[in-house]
Amino acid sequence: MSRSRVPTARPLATRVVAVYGLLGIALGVVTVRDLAVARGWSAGTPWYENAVNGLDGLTSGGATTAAGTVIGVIGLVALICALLPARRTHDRTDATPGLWLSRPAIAMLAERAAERTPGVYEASATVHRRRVVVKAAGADEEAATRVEDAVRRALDGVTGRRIVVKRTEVEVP
Amino acid sequence: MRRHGRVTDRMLAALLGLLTVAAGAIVVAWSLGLVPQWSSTLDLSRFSGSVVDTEWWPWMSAGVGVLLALLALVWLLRRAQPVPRPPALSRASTDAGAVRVDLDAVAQAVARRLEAGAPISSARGKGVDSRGVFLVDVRASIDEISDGPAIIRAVERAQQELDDSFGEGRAVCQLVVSAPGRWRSIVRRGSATPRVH
Repeated sequence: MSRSRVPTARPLATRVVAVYGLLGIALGVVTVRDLAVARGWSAGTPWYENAVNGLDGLTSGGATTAAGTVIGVIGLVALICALLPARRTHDRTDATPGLWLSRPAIAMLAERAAERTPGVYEASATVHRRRVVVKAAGADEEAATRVEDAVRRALDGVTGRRIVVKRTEVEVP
Repeated sequence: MRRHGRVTDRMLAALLGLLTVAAGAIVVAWSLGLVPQWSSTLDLSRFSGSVVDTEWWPWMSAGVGVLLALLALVWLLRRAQPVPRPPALSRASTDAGAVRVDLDAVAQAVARRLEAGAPISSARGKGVDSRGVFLVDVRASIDEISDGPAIIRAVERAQQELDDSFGEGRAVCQLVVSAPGRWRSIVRRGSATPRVH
C-alpha cells in the first residue's frame, strides 16, 4: 500500500512564475501603449524612449553595483524557490497508510476530546513537531489525567506525537 | 495541480531565476569594471539611432510584448482553474469480455460511503490510474464531533471493499482529512473555544 501520494501544497516555484507572469503581462500592456503613442493614435511620449534616454550616458558606480546586486539576489531567491520541495500539508497516520490528517485536524480532534471531558471548562490544542499540547481549564486536579486519557483515545492510531496536557485552575463560584 | 505541471513550474522558475542572476551579475561586473573591454559609461546612441528610431521598432516590441503577455495569461489561467481532465478509465479484459471502469465514478462512490461511515464531511473523490494501480483520492473535512479510531476503521473498511472489488493491491484508498476552513482561521489566531456548561 505504498502507492499513496503525499499530499503537498503548491511549490514556491509556482508563485515565482506567477510573479514573472504578471511582469510579462505588464510589459505587454506597456509595449502596446508605446505602439499607440508612436503611431500617433494616442498622445504622449513612448516610455521606451524615456528608458533609453535615461540609461544613455549612465556611468558605473555604487548605485549600479547596488542595483545589480539587488537583481542578482532576486534571481537567487527565485532559483532557491525553484529547488525547494513542496510543503507537506498532511501527516500520514500510524495505524493505516491510507489516512492523512492535517495538523489543524489533529488539533481539532484533541481539542474536542478535551472539551468533552467532564470538569473541563475550556480547552485548546496545538500540534507541534513531536508533541500535541492541550491546554485545559478545569476545576479539579484529576481533570488533567482525564483529559489526557480522552485525548489519547481520540488520537489512537492517528499520531505518534507525545500528548502533553497543561491544566489551568478555574475558580468555580 | 498535476505533477507534470509542477515540474514545468520548477523548470520555468529555475530558468527565470538563472536569467535574473545572470542579468544582475552582468550589471555588477560592469559596475566594478571586471571586464576591461566594457566602457564605464553606457553608450546607447547607436542603438537609439539604428533601432529605436526606426519605423518597425514599436511594432516589433509590441508584438514581443503581446506574445509574452498572452503566454503569461494562459499560464495564469491554467493555474487558477485547472483544465478539466477526462475521466480515468481502467481496462480489464478476460475471456468473458472487456470491462471499462470509470474510476472517477468509483472514487465518488467511495467518498460518499466514507462520508456516511466516518465522522467526516464534504468528501470529494477523484480516481487516478497510477501505473496500473488505481488510486482513490478522497479529500474531506473533519466533523466537529469526531474521533481518530472511527476514521481509521472507515478507511480500512473502504480499503477492504476495494480489495474485494478490484483484487488485492490493485486499488488504494487514500483519505486526506483537513480541518474546516473556519477552524483553520481560529487555529491561526490562536484563540480557544470557550465552553459553557
